[in-house]
Amino acid sequence: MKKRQNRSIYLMLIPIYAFTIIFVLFPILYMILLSFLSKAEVWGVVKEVTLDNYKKIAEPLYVKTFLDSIRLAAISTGFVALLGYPFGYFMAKLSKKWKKRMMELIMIPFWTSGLMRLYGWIIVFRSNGTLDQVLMGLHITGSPLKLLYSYQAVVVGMIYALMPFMVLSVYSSAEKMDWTLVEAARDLGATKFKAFLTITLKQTMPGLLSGVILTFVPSMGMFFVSDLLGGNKIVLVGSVIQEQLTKGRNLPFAASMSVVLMLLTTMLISLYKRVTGSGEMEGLV
Amino acid sequence: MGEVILDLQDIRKSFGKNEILKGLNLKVEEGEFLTFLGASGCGKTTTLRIIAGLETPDEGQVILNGEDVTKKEPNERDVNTVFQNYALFPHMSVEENIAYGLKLRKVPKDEIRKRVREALALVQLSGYEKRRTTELSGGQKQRVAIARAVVNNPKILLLDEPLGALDAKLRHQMQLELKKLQKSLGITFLYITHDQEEAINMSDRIVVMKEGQFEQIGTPDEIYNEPKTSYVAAFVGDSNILTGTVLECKDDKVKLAFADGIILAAARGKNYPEGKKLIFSVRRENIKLENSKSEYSDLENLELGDLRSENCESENSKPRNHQSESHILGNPEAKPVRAVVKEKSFAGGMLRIVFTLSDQTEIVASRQGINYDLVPGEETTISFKPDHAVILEEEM
Repeated sequence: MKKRQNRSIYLMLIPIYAFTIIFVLFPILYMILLSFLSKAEVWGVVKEVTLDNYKKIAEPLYVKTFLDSIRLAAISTGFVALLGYPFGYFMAKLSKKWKKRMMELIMIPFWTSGLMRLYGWIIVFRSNGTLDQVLMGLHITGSPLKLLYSYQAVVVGMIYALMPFMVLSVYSSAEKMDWTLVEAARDLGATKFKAFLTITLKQTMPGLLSGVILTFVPSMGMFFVSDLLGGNKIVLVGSVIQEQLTKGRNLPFAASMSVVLMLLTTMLISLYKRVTGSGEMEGLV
Repeated sequence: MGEVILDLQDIRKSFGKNEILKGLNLKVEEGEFLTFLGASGCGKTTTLRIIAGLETPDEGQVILNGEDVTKKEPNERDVNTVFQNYALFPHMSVEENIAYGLKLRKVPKDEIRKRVREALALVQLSGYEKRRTTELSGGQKQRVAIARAVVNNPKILLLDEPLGALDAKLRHQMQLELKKLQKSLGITFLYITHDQEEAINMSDRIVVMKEGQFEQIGTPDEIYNEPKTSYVAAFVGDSNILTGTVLECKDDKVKLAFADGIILAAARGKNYPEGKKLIFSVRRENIKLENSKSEYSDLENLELGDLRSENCESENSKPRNHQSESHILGNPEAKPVRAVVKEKSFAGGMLRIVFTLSDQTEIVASRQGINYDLVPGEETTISFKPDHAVILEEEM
């Protein structure tokens, strides 16, 4: 009986495996293969195995690009955690009715394209844009701040784009929390702050951790944010890959950068997991 | 002993429009085992939470050991709680759980280890220091929760239905252990339960609560033998604790599916959702037997007239049965419950009849006299009046 049940479960899993193999595993293998080939004169690749693509990444220019990307991702993730954690935490404490309303408010922006919403930030940040007009109107600043095409603008754009992931993963973790544990801690002599540190934070850690990963990983590749809001000042790995693909027509080099980016991200995640000592993450393995 | 350790002065509390506590006054003496006994939603848990500081009263004062702590935070009160669902910290070991309060108080490490070991010995869990709390059984979790509270030497230990989730056998054993523990520690225990047996077994004094007020405060003896209100009388006594499922709730009556029948219970102003399991109690003497052969009548007649005089005239038995049938007919929603006599015994001037119901529940009825002609194995039906079924608690 049990065996038959197991078999039917495996049968049901076949489409999922097939999908993963065709659309995830094959492309990755193809990308890895590409990264060891050479660029053809005009378009495409020639079947000459080489390590040149990887050697090129080791050049200072590209090393800097990788470091800049990691730095921006880390800064953005830090801010997202700082702002998103309290948001998700307090949302879990709302009444049922308000939880639903907040959830709708978070979901509504997803109804329009993320790119369009980023263009909205251009209107806010540009010289004499919405932000400048408000600040100057209130006589807080005297002249336009020239925020558009600055590092700050890119960070704000990143935070804006990635915040929902952090909020939702912290929320789902805090939602499941047994609040009598906090009462028990308070009863045993903990101040509100101490109870938060020793109980709430520990209990919601899986949500925070998965939020960090859900933020950090995409922020490594979100080149369009820096392209739109950062001008050409900040060059990120994502932008380089995209440029090499479209303008440079260098498929092998773009592939090798993607492979390095993938490895780097995997390494950082496993390092992070080891440092925080947590195996379980909310909704993530 | 004798010193007043806790003084509640006119405590009032409302949640929204619901007035939960309607002016409570109580003095608790040091070393006392005091039990709040009451049905679901009577405010007993809110009272406990106000004493612990987890809830602030709208009006009134909480005086703990001569000091007004009404406005103080829970961590500033010399009171510890054993929570109903245990509330053990799942990310900590047994030892870390018990040491939590001591660590906050910056007790030296060696002393913490010693006191944790002593506390575990007290609840008979020596050697469990390193266990994860998630690996423990219900009874063991309960013991850890008690150890975690008493290790801090509180002035008062608050226990919110600590045995509610345990099975009957374990409950009884834990009752005895808790009482022993309380005596040996000399700590004041404030205990919450809906189980009158528990209250009577353990307490020095019992506070019977109903709808945010104290119905009666007294020793178990006083509560049992001299109930001051009909509510206390119905609530405390030789009762059957039974479980039924809500079918409908209207006109201040709850219709419950119980065994293979349907019974009605007084809702006492509450509304219970359909499908909810309710625990209710019925006193043994309030169980009505519908048996035409029986020489004695059911309790309704007992209340209506002088039983003895009626019994002298045996011809009267016919109209009596008519009356009890019409009682059922007048209540078309109720459907009597089939019951098979399991055993009969006579003690203390009372005949005790144990029935087995269709769902294997056992129910005990008692009657005065020995002349009840039901024999083991015989089938009959039982019922009870709505007012006699006292709803205690919604099952979790």
